[in-house]
Amino acid sequence: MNLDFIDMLDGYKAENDELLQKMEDALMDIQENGMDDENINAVFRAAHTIKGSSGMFGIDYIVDFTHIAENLLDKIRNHKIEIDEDIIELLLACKDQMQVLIDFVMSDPEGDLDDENQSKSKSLIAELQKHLDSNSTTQEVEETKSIDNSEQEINQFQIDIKFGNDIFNHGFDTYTFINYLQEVGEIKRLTTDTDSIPSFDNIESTTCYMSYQIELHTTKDIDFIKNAFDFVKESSDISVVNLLSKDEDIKKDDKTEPKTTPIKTQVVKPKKSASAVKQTNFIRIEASKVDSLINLIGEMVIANAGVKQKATNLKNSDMIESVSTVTRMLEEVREQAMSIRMVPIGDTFNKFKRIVHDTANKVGKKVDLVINGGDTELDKTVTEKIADPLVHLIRNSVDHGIETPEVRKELGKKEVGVLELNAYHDAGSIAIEIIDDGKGLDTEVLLAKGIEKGLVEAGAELTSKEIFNLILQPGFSTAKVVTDISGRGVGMDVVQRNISELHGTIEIDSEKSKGTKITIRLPLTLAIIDGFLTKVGDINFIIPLDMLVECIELSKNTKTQMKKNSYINLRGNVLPLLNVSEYFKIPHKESASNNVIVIQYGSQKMGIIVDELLGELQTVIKPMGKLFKNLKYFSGSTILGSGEVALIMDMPVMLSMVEHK
Amino acid sequence: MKIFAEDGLCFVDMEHSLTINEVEVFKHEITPLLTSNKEFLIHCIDVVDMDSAGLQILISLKKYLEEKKIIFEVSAGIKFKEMISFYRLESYFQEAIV
Repeated sequence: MNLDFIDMLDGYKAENDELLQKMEDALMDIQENGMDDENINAVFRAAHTIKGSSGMFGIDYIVDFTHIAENLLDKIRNHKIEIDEDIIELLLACKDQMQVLIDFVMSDPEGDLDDENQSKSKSLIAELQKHLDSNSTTQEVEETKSIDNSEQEINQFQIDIKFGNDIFNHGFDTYTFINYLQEVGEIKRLTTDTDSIPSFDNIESTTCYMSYQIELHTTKDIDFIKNAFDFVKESSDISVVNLLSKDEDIKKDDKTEPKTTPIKTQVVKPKKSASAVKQTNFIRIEASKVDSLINLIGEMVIANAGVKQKATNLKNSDMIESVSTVTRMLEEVREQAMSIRMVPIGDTFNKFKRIVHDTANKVGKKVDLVINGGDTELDKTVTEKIADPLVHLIRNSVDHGIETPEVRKELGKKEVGVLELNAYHDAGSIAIEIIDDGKGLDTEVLLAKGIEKGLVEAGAELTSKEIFNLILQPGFSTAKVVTDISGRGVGMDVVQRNISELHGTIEIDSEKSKGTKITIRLPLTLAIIDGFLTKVGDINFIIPLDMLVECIELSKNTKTQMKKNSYINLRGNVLPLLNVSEYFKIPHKESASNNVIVIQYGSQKMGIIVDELLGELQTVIKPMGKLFKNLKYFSGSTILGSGEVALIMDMPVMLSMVEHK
Repeated sequence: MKIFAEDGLCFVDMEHSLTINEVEVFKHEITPLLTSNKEFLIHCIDVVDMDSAGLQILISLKKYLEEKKIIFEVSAGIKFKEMISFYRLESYFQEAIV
């Protein structure tokens, strides 16, 4: 590999990961909806760009592999080869291999490809070649031969490059590009245009003014040469002309009278499609930079709360007003910064198409994946951490839930099972549903297994929900056959643990022979939230504002009516109550009336009895620290303006505790 | 980068590198010295790291000084020679190399 690029490997990987995902999405779409020019072109473009960038990095084993896949794709998009199920499977396998090769580059940029991967690449190349050969007409074979011959011929290119002004700032050096040309051929002539560089008093030192005229002799074709400039083509003026092609005479004239300034003709800039224009509105930034921005904003929120507290103590109205203005602005900054972290869950959902497809194929089932609410946004960290648990749940649904086509037919169901992935916002959290129309969970079998495993006492009466929750226990599996997909009894407990670590909950609902619905609820973010500050005794508590429905007064009369019951009648509905001072044994002054904060999470509601309501507060979530890792009722803490600590209530845990009571 | 400006000469020792990381400082430090009409000697003997941005700033300085008829000289090390050879700029810098 070209070591000049080693610092740019992260960018190379990020870009190619995205392209590979696009490739997979497009292939899955073709598989689902049939051949489509737009999709096959997207696959071709992705392969072509991966080949180009890998070539620039000097990663020959990726170039060689992708080249063959690109050949097949080219024939498909030109309708010379008809795409079928086998070819789609092969192209998906090639996509996977490209991913493996790219990961290999990341792990060992300077190393040669290991034997295992070499052999895998070779076998896939042979498969690709088989399709290319078997589908080629005589004419095509001749064409291929002529291409092969032409590859051995020396092409002569006139390359005029005026590099974009911003390329130095983007980490590129013109040296690297020209050096690459030198590696793939022979630079017969190179003219550096010193006229284009301003005099010292007018130069912006980090702006690139360099332009060059190059005559290159190489066995590579014109596309290969153009691809060498893929990374800078948007901002640069690049012209590549084959001196031996139709333009030969004109260019030969140029050659006999070499110009000292670059030729500004035939600037070959790619036509920008609507999507390309749209793309220029995005910038790629390191996630760590956003994280550190959010952290800084968090610190500012805390510092600002301190200033606000001091201004209030001083009773200085001008100062209070100024601080309020800063607070408002800070809130906006916070919201904007948080929105940078929000990503649509659909990107993660789309990756599951392949998993469903592969798993279904492996176990001989037919499954349609339906995705709803893909544009629902969620914090990037949460999205990343939820992906693995979702994969497990989806595999479980396909492997254990949905029946084989034969069984479904016998049961009078459609041969093709349906797996639904839904996402939506609900009361300050995001709900993700995985619904299948398979065989559902059998409560009798689950209960028997629970008793056998010693998780439930014999004769115990459990609700359906409690029985379903048994599958979340470590080591619980009812699978008769252990497959490499699922059924080892490890997994569902890990799924639950992962979700709990994100302060989320998992809920299982199922009906025998009808299907299973798993609902995961997750907080929208793990960084800063809008909170509601309350006080019980001397302890401050924060309740996430999104879950707060209303605050009501618990009058002396109501208290008397309640007697010792822990619920009230709220406009005709029973509202279970949690008395914080009693439950956590917090000493406080008894007063005639208390406040009840009504909160809602999903479809559940409860009331929390507190002493004081102190109002809304921007809450920076700080982890509780190792010492308090077993303290399950609080999802974190925050520092108030006064310097005091407030505990953030974990509402799903509180609700489940009240439910058990 | 070290600059010694005395006796009608500005001696700029680039030490080990002349890259995108140095060019801003280079511009910033050299600009105030331009009015002194002193001749410039850019010492690149020890430069082991150089990129196109570094080369570009030298070309730019050379242009300016030549316009003002001020002497511009470079003591060329291996890396500098490599760069000008790569970009076919030997003849452009020929007069300036000491």
